[in-house]
Amino acid sequence: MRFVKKYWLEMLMVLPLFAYLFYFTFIPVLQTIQISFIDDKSNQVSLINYESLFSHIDFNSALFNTIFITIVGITVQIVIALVIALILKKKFFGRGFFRTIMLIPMGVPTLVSGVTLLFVFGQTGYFNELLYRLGLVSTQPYWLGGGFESLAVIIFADMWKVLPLTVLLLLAGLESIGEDVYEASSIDGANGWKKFWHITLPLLKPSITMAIILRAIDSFRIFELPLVMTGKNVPVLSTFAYEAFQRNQYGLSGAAAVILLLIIILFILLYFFIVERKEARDGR
Amino acid sequence: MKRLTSDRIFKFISFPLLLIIAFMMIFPVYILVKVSISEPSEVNTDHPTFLVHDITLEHWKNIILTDKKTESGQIVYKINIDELMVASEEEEQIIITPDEQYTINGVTRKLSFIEGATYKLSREELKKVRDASTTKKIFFGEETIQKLYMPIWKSLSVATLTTIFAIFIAAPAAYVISRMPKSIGYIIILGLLFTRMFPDVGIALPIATRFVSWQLTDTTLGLIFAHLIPNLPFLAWILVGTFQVIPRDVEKSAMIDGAGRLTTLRKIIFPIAAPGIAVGAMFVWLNSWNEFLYARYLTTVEGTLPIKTFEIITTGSYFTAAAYSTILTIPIIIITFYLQRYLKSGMLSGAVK
Repeated sequence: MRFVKKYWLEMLMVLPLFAYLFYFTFIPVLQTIQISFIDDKSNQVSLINYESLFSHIDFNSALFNTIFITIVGITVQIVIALVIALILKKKFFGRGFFRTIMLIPMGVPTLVSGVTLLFVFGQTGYFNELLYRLGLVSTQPYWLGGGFESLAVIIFADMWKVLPLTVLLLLAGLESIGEDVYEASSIDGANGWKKFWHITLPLLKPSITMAIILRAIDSFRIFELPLVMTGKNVPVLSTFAYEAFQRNQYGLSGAAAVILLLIIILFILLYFFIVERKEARDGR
Repeated sequence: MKRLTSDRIFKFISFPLLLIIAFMMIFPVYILVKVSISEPSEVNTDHPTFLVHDITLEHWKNIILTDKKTESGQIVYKINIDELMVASEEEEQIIITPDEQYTINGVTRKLSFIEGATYKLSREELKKVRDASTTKKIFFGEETIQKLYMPIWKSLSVATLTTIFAIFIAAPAAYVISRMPKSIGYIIILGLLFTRMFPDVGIALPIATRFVSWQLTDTTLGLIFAHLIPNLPFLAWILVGTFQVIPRDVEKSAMIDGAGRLTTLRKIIFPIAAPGIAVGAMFVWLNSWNEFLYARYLTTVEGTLPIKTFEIITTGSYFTAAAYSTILTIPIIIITFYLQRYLKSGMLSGAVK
């Protein structure tokens, strides 16, 4: 009681947030898990949704596409973002201009970036025209019909949209590394590559981890881009769950969402397990 | 000091690389605007042009203005001159006289009598018919209001109200979290981050079914509730960092001067944190303005602007979609450029720590 008396104001201030998150996030997630175990037809508890899920051809490709887009996409994104961040960290003429240019995609809604890149990668789009004018193709390949080329286009689209944020995250990390560390290593005779490998990268690791985790969560949940750009040609888990919802197959939709949640949690656990363990070993 | 090879290589390739990447960043945005002001013949071909040769504002006019309509809901052109010759698909010559009414669906280039017969018209012919018509395009016509202004209004009100609610719920909580002992605060922040891991499709499913029974689908209030779900933890997360920077001594000295706890919060703490809150609020506004997934789950008829844009792109009218997309993007580009200086250091580095 004394605790309540002393901290009543604080509790009052925190309560709405926690109540909201409890009621509108935590409970719905539990409900989704519950829905996924209930047969839509008979209202009985059963595993039928999961059975039909894994025999569904769209689901299997959705599962593969989601994981592929995330793993490949994030690897490419982090590498490119790191290169850009390293360049932008150096002082040179026009740096402010380039920094501003880099931010443009951030001001474009995800949906719009899907629409725009649809114009670019459509069959009579500007990418094909560019290839044609460069003499690289004579016909017009269709990039969005499914398969690896569509996945590559989606990975590019996702990268285009989020590159600014990733670059900013890494840049903030880079700028927090003090100049004196580099000066000391120069005196010790380290060259650029060695500096990068032995100083920049280890010191940047918290930022990279943060970027990977944040990006991976978003990338697993990717929704608008595949939906707008390829329709049903490239199903991912989110669009699969949405399609099932639209057909009123709530159980199936819930099951797909649960699988997605499991994948995200598994990924993060695995990442920390591998990275942290390596760190512990290195530290010894 | 001697320049080392790897440094030189890096320096040598970095500038061209930067140029290529900068081009890639701008190019799609240019294409978007270009499509929205291009003649259809420049885009609907096997080999679209990269530069804008003829600027046309036709697509913009089409979405901003409404053709005056009859009771049947179809577009009517009255032909002003004495008569007009029109060739039908079978090369027949049809003479149109001023007393008759015609419906024209501009984009599909069809001319049909109200009685039902339909004739194909070429673009030039259509233009002639249009030029000769006395029908005016008007702002705030019924169609434009339904298709453009209502979605814009809905998006605006949802985003603004979401932002206001988010501030009132998240800011006090963030303040308290920032004053908690480090270990507990850290756990709560991790918890907030953890809510981001839940897939939206998983949350939206029970929310959508719940809102049906509460009759909240298609309403502004329902969307605000939904948009608060991802934005509350996000804003709270950002604001904890903002409040942590404010030293405790400030509030202590205010208390010593005799201010109550509420007065201290209202008059000292929140005003100091106001710039940080404003920046966080703008992020929330942007998130809500862009939001697509929840809106898609909770909308059957009255969509927000992103939903409308998506509906248009699925019907295949590229030019209209480009114009809508541009409208959707403009406020965001403006706010992003304003936010740019905050993006650089403070907020994100705070987020990393």
